[in-house]
Amino acid sequence: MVTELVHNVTRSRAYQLMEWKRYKEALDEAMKLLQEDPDDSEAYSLIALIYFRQDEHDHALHWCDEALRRDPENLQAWYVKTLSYYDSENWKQFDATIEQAIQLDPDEAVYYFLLANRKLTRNQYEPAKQQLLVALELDPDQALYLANLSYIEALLGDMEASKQLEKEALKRDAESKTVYLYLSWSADRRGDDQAQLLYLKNAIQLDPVDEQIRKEYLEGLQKNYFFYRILLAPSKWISRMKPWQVFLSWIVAWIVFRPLVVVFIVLYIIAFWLSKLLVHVKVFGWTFRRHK
Amino acid sequence: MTFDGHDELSERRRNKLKLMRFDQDQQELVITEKPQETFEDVGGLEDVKKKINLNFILPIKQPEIFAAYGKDVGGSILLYGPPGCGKTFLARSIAGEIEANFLHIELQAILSMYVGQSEVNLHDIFERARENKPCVIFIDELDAMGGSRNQMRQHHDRMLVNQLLLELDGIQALNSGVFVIGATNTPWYLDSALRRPGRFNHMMFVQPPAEQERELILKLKLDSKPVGKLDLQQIAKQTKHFSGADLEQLVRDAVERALERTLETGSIQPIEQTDLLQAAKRRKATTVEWFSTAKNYATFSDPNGDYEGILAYMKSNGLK
Repeated sequence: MVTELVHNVTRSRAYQLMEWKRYKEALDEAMKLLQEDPDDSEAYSLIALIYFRQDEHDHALHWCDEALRRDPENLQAWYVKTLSYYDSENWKQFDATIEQAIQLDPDEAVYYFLLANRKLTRNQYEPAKQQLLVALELDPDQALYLANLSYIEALLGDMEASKQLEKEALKRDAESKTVYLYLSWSADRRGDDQAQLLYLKNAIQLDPVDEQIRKEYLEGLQKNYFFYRILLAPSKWISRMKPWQVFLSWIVAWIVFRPLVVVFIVLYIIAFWLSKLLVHVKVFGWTFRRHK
Repeated sequence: MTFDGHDELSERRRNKLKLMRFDQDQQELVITEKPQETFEDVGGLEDVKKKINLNFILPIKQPEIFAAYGKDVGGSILLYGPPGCGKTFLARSIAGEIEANFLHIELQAILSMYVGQSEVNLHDIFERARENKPCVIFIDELDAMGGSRNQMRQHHDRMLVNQLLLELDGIQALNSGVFVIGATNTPWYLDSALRRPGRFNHMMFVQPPAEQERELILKLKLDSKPVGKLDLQQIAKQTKHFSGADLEQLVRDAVERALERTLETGSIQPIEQTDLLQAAKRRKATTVEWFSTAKNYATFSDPNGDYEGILAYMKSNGLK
């Protein structure tokens, strides 16, 4: 009885330390669970989760396999394994793993969210929307899914639906960097540069360590400059075209307006680098060391 | 949930809470320590000491002046900075300066409160501090107790932050002579409510030791050890950005090298300059990683200018 209590307390401590991002200490606690019971599948999957939180996907996968060897139906291990393949963009393994994971745990909404994103990587917007609708059926109040759906609606051209979903997402969670990131993409797609920058600003305040957010925020700031926005306008039309249409328009433009195309390219390059320089000075000052 | 006296977990908890003793009969919390360190023992950090002096120490020594301005004796400050740079030592020296009792709450104690199996209760700790005035409550790793409530998913996590807020407000309203010092390596994880006036509104950046301080630290760490002819100034120059803890590790490495020679030769071998130089070459300052994270918060997520000290330090010390 006492052993069981100690075991549970140790487990709680490990989870708590992991939530505090004290991963080394969390791992020490989790290892104690293994010392107490070397066949504790939950302990293996907890260690996998701790490694996953540190983006150490190879370690996470190793410990997932150890957990699944002891209990093939360990849901946490399947969850971490699927997410690890997703995060490391190992799509072949991801496709195989998520199928098994859903078979075992069909009510886990995250899996449908991941499948939606997988469809997005292949530009399959409508199937992505269908997957997200399944996720939202299981977890209707998840702001992240609503924000993602807002983005997909914008990609599908339904700007009104996109804006409505944006409101719904913000109503449910105004403190998530990921929600803001999706909303910024959604706003970008709708051509709303101000909203895009606002969402990126919120995202970066929540997590300035995230490199992707920093990069997108700095790019967003570039759009504050009118001269750069003007030259970006054609790229917005282009992004709505199919690849063959883009190719064809460039060929036609090159044949008909060759000098104009050259002037446009030169102006675009100047505007891009000038706005980048201005943003850099505004944010970091006159220092030109590489910002990590 | 309680455990008997032989339980391993209780033992570990008691070890970590060695500054408190529970009376066997009455479960009484007795504050057992009055630190002997004072500001004289703290090398450098002049700006921080000046600010602490004005807000903490002088109000006790000259209460009438501060009373004229409506300022109470007591309050709270938050020390933040890279790990191993002497936040705990500074807190102890503040208690030493005002000859106050010192109550140290460490991560393990906070963790015990979270997992709900400890008799240590936050309210009790504050109550006991109020009964033992003047008293400094030092909450190490404050981010663990007062992390952002938005990021805390569990109900009991939020309860502890709320309780802490309640206790800090209580200090202002009811208690003169209770000082709360929080320390954290990650101030950006703190709940913003904790930084409002009356709570931890004095934020002080405890930076890594400067060259002269590093030399002094090395001298203290090598004190009473067999040493050869040393040029500590040279070592101090080569250990830019090293924290006090890094320097301690460096000395340990050098001692190990001297010990190896001693075992080989059979006679006591002093620590030589090359031992220290080799150790300095092998070790890297652990503060650098902290600064690369802190810089992002200072640049992109600092609307109130709380972290300006970080950027100023980085600029003046050539840190990227």
